Amino acid sequence: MADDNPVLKMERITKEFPGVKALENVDLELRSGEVHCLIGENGAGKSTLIKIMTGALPKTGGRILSNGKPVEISGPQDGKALGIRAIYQELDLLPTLSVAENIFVESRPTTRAGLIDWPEMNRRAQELLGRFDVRIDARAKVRQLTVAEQQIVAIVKALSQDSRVLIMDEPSAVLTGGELERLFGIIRQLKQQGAAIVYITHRLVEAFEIGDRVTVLRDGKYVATAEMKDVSMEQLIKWMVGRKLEEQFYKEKVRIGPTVLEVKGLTVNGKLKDIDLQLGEGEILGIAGLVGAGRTELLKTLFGAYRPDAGSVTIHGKPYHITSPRGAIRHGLGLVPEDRKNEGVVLCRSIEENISVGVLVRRVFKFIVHFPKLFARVAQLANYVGVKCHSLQQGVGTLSGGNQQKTVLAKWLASESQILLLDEPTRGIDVGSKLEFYKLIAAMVRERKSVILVSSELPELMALSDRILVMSNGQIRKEFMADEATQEDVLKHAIPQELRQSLAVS
Amino acid sequence: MEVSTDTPKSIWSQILAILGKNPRLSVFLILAVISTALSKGIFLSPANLHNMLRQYAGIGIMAVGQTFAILLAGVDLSQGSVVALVSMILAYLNTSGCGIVWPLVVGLCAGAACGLTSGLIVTRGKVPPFIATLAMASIARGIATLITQARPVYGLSKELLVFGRGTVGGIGIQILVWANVALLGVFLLTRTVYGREVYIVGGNERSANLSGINAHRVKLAAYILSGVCAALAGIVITSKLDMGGPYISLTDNVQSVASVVIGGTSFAGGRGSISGTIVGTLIIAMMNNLMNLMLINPYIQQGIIGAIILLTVTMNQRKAGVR
Amino acid sequence: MFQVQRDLERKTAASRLGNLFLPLALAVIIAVCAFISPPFLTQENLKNVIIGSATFGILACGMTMVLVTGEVDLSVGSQVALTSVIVATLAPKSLALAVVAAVVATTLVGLANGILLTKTAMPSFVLTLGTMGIVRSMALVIADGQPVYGVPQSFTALTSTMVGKIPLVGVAMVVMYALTWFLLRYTSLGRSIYAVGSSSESARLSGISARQVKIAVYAMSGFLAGIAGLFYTSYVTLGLPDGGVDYETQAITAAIIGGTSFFGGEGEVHNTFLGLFIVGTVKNILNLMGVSPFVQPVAIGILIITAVVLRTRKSE
Repeated sequence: MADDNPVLKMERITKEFPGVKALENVDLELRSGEVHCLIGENGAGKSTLIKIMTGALPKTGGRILSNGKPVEISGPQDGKALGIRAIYQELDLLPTLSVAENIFVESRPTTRAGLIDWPEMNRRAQELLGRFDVRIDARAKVRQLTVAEQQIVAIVKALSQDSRVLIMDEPSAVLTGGELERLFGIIRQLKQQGAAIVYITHRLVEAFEIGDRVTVLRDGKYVATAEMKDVSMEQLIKWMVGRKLEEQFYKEKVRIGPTVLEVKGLTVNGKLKDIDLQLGEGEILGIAGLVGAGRTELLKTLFGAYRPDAGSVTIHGKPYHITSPRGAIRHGLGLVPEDRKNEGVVLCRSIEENISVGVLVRRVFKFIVHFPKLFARVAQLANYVGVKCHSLQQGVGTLSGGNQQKTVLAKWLASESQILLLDEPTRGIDVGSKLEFYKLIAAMVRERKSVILVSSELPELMALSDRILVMSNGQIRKEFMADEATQEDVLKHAIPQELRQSLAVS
Repeated sequence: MEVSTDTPKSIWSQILAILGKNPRLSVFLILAVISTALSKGIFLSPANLHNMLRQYAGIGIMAVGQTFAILLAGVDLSQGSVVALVSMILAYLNTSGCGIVWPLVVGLCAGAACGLTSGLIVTRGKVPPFIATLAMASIARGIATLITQARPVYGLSKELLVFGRGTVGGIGIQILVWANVALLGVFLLTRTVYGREVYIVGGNERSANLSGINAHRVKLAAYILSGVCAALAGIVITSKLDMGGPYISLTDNVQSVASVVIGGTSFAGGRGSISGTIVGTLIIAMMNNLMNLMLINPYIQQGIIGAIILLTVTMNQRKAGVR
Repeated sequence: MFQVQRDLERKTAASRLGNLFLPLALAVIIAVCAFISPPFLTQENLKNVIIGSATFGILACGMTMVLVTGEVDLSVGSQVALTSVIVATLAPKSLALAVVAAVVATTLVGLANGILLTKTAMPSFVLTLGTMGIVRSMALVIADGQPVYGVPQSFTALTSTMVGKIPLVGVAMVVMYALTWFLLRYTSLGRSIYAVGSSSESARLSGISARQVKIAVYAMSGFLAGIAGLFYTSYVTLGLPDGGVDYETQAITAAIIGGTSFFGGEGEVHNTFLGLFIVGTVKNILNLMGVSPFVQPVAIGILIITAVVLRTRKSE
């Protein structure tokens, strides 16, 4: 087994998207029979790197070696031919087809006549699902399953074929403790069979439990590779966030005024349970939690995108009935959504038009738009938030992520929002824009606006917030003052009870 | 890549650059030149142009309404049937002694009601616009035929014929109606809050909803507009034909959609303009007019329009950078 | 966990019930028809229903495949006209040649549709709206705008030929449906058609070429339009260059009432078959009851809307 050549070696990989350098000279080496953890913050380039590995994205530069021989991976087919498979974060399943068919979509069992053998397919699928000990009907349509169940189907799909390199992109994000335990069991099994496993996560606890080696990426650049047993949690965090921790963020001390938003017992069946919170004038309230903890749901419910089943909300002491986003905007709320491209901006329209929506929704104009007035205001706001563009008539689709996000923010400034709900506002934004964005948030609270900030990047959340609420399973578990909490404290409360137990046992 | 911005461009290269950016304008101009040349100038004669515009006013009016539906990533396939329905209502009421005001009012209301129904099926029923308006087309055509058991109605009163045959200052009234509807459409889309909302909802409905725009209401209004435009077209067409016909405008719906598509409005929604649509209608009108003038086999007309659709849409997509 | 389990069971139970919905609906409609109008169940009448539905039926079969990939084919009505003109023009020379030429021609039209669609990334509605006009013009030019006489007796007899008690047309239609059903269910191409319609990005990552699949589907739609055109020609006994107008919407209607999703990924030909007969039966019973024929389009329109609304409600 002592093969000197690694199964797969990626050298000086570079990937450029229009306007953004997603990867720059990244190296990665995978050995047979190892679990290689790939870690880094959101936007560090982990997903891009594995997409290049599988052939889902073409690389701009660098080379890939398989067992020492250079290979060209120019499409998903090439990746498969080399035995590279991935379980993506965005599930690559076919929603209208059955579970069994999804599992075997690449190699459907056939009868001797070459026809699809449905009974065999269903039987084998059910058997594979059985290894996970979950009750999923192999004949059910994928669309009918919960997200966690879909994730399991995706894992089973990848396991159904022999692979030399198996990539798992944050599989734990939606799995419960028991399911994760079984996944780890299967990973150990695969390891013994000689497969190389790339395990992407931003939960370091998991990396220490399952990983043999680790490679850290930061802002699209390679930072380090190390044996897991040789590094400490502190060292990894330092690598992930970089040395100049204090310079990355920007916060001004602002006097926090009286309560502007008060939420009591807010419940959305199946999503949120009994949420209580207060938000002061000029305050930045951070919400921490894992994916699926209910953070996005909380913001969207306050913004009127979901109807609450119970609870009361008051704004400036007056009752606020949650009806629709339109109603929320009238009450001075503004949402910068997580899914920027699908929910935040209209890509095919200009910057000007995107921002002007905020003015229009305030009903400044009854029916006829007074364009000089509108565009003067829009230009002023675009300038204020610092959108970088040739002209404001430029389509938003041509902007970088950071500038798109500034456009969304300008829209809410145009609508004169007093309470801003920011959902992962810096995801997928380059470092320079992040800092500008932080300064904008600071400027807003200086002007006595209030902010609720959801972010998966703990250092960011802790640096910007005045106060932090930790959520899991749709409930608020703990409240911290930002300067009193440590990352470990916050993480501890963010991990659901059952997961914590299962990790403690092993 | 080197760009020589300093070299003064010749007038021709500038014109070519402008035309390169506006595929439909170039198609329009090329057609106009060809038409003039091949018809030895007859094409440009005022009588011919006037005739051509009168003939296509109905489709032009429908296309304005259609633009709203397509801008919202939908389509209205019921327009042709609504034309027939309005035609029958007009003719039937007019010939049964209701004068002309009531028939016009009822006709316009019927058009609006059809649009409202389509809009409700699309927004409340969540039925794809293609299917919803296809069903509406079937229903409207059925009602149109039911009124007189599919017999055409002749003998309209003289006042009603004004819309299709009268002129004001030498210009056919239906052309003026078309021009006004088009101007109103341009005004709505470019100058009003509603117009802004149409582009935003058409570009990204989820984003629009989360920006406080009531996308359902915007769509509902668009289908009503489309229905009213079809009703206006029905009035103009009925008046020109001097009859109410349950089977008129069978192919007009395709021409209305073709005008919009040739005019550069994206089928994905969110991009396009009324001015483009007008050029689109004019291109179709000129094609057919040229073939009539040249006594070219009329059978290839549909094929040529089909080819123009494919050509202009491909050019638009190249321009928009779609692979 | 128990909650999830129960949800799952309820969901599968609901979808099993959903599978029975169409046959039940058709059975109920037939029962009601037989009850209110005894002539409905006579052999002569049923024969008419079958013959009347055959052309749309075969088109609907191809349309279902196209809809499953998430596209639409508006050119099939014109293709029917093209077939009938080619058959009528060439039949005096050689009937066999005529039939083969007609089907080859429509298959090529379908192939062209597929290639253009995948090359230009144009929406299929717009593309096939264009080819609809072009193919119609081809038919009109070949026939010089006039009906073409010359379809031999032997060919027109196809319509009245019976296999046992069932018209040959009906048998041919059932064969087409059975073959398509088989193709969609048991072959790799068939499953790829569903995969592409379900999510073309996921299909791509699984190594399925949406390009090839779509070209194949349009070619098959063209082929079936040719077959439908043959029966159409036999039925009308002429080459009709302006025939088959609006047949594409009839085909779409059958597929949609049969539960085919307009967004792709879902739809079964056997359900389209049931949808076809629901439409045919409703039209027929209205006729038998002496209701004005002009009520039919109104009824069909309402039927379409009800079917789609019910379906969307159910899947939510």
